[in-house]
Amino acid sequence: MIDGILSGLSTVMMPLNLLLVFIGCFAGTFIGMLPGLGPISAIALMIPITYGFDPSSGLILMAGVYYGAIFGGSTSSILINAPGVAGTVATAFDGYPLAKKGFPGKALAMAAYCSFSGGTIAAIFLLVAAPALATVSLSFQSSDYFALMVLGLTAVSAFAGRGGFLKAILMTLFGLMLATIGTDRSAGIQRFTFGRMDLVDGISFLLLAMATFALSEALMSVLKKDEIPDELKKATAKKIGSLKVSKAEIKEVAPTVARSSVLGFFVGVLPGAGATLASFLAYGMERNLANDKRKKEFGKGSLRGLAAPETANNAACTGSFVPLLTLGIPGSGTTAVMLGALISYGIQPGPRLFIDRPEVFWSVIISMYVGNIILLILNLPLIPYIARLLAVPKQFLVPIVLFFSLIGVYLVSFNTFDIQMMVFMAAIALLLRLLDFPMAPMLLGFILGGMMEDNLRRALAISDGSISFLWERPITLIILIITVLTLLSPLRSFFSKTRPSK
Amino acid sequence: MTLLNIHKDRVGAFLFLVFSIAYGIATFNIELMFYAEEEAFTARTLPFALSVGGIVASMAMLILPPVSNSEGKDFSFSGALKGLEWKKVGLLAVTMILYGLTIKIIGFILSTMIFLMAGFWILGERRVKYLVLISVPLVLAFWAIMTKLLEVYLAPGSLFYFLGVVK
Repeated sequence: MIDGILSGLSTVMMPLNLLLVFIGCFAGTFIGMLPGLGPISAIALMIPITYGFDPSSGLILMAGVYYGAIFGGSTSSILINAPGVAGTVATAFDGYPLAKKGFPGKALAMAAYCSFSGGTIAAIFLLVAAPALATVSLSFQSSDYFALMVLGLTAVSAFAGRGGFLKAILMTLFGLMLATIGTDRSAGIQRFTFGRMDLVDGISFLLLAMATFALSEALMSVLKKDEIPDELKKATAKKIGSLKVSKAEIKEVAPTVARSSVLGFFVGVLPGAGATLASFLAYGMERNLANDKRKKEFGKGSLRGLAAPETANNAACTGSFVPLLTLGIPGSGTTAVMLGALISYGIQPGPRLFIDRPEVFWSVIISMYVGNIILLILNLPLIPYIARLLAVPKQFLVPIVLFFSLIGVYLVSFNTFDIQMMVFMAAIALLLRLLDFPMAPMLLGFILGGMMEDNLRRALAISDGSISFLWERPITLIILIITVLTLLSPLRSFFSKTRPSK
Repeated sequence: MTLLNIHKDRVGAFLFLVFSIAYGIATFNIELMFYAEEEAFTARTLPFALSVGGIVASMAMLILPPVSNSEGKDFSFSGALKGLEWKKVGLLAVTMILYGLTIKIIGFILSTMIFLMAGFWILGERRVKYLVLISVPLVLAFWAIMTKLLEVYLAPGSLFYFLGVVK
């Protein structure tokens, strides 16, 4: 393990990689700050750039973008009450009131310190948990992987909440269906290509991610009239104020940070839960633990109310790398995009990654520390300047985002059909967004679809075509039982609480 | 009751139902190898299962009462489409399609400049100075990074070959 850590450290400390972490954090902060554009879009926009680098550098850049986007989302939550990322919605509960009281600088600094602490504590957990889980998962077989993928897809839907359960299931199925387009990897038979050569290789994951996130989020921001006037953005960006946080304030939030880091990490490890759930849970936990006097401060600019979600969402981001790196199964839309990128580099994440490509495995983990440090020492002082970018009018930003999305996909394939396909997919995504269908489960289904089919096919071949593999292997059976329980919990709540519409 | 007054969840479920049925029918068009009859898992197996899953889930969503029903909020399909900037988005979509159609003909630099300027204009920017001063340097800088720094070849456009400007 020490060798691995050292090799990861030397990879991350290479000047190019350090520069990439910095660029990633900076670009992520900016993109995450723009209301409507989240980390998935931020990472997707970076993927075409990473094709020129080796896999470690590419992943380091994307990891930097991820933290940056979450941090940027917090900035817009605090300054203009417009979370750029779902994971920072809870940050606005107390961050925005604190900024309104005249302490935007303090709120931003506190958010940065908490993000750093959460990310760093969680990275220590990751350092211990990931190799341990990777070693255990070496004994996994096709049937276990198939069961794990079903669990991952089910959990995403289960965590979607009462109203979103069936919608998330449908979107997962939609993603799986899209993944079947192209040539069947095993038999070499074309499926749903309708005679078009452009579809023989299937839909590229980058195209789908860009169309359904970056492109559709940008178009959505045009479709829905801006609720925040440009004047407010300009005024807010100018007045950041002092970034100082007193010792007493740090002492006050220290226990909150410790609790939220642990909670955030474990929620992040769960497939499908992610930063949003972690931040809400941490906020709720802190409010419940607070005494009556402190409880009244929640929602009115409480430091604990700001610290809890900020710590938890960063810890969850780090935690979500555990299933990705050790099992090759993404737990969230963001890590699904990263998985897609890894596969396109020719790397298959999973337990073998730990053995075959230790430099990739460890450099990602080490880059998390470096990313957190860069966010703190470079991004925080730059926030007053980055915040000014919020004042860039939408009429310039949106076409530029559209251009980067389209050209990012075009430069990979040099096929103009991809641009038309992106517009088509973005139109579908726009309609689905208007009908409140979540996009992340679709992306997860799409990325896991091919692997799930391969593992199922292999498991059936090993068991001579019998489905007995589902209960013959204890690991498979246990995972499937957890899947059924995960599926049953929202179903029970769905049937018990559903009321007929008036 | 018109389609527009139906709860948007039901409209979404209906669209998925239609899609799942169409997808299911299309699975029968997947050609199989001659030995496929003896196999437990063929190229049709997963698509067929997904189609059945889609039909069951969308039927469930259609039959069960919609969950999002907060008092005073409009959850109708028409409500979801009302008061939105459809014209601007439509024009941007057309611009993107035209960008895709022209990029190989008139080349990256020219098509991208036109695309960006059209985008700025559609979203309300009318000052020619800004249209030019933002799009031209951005495109040239991007082109320079791609071709000179990252060594990605961006073809000048078939029109210029046809006109003899580039050989």
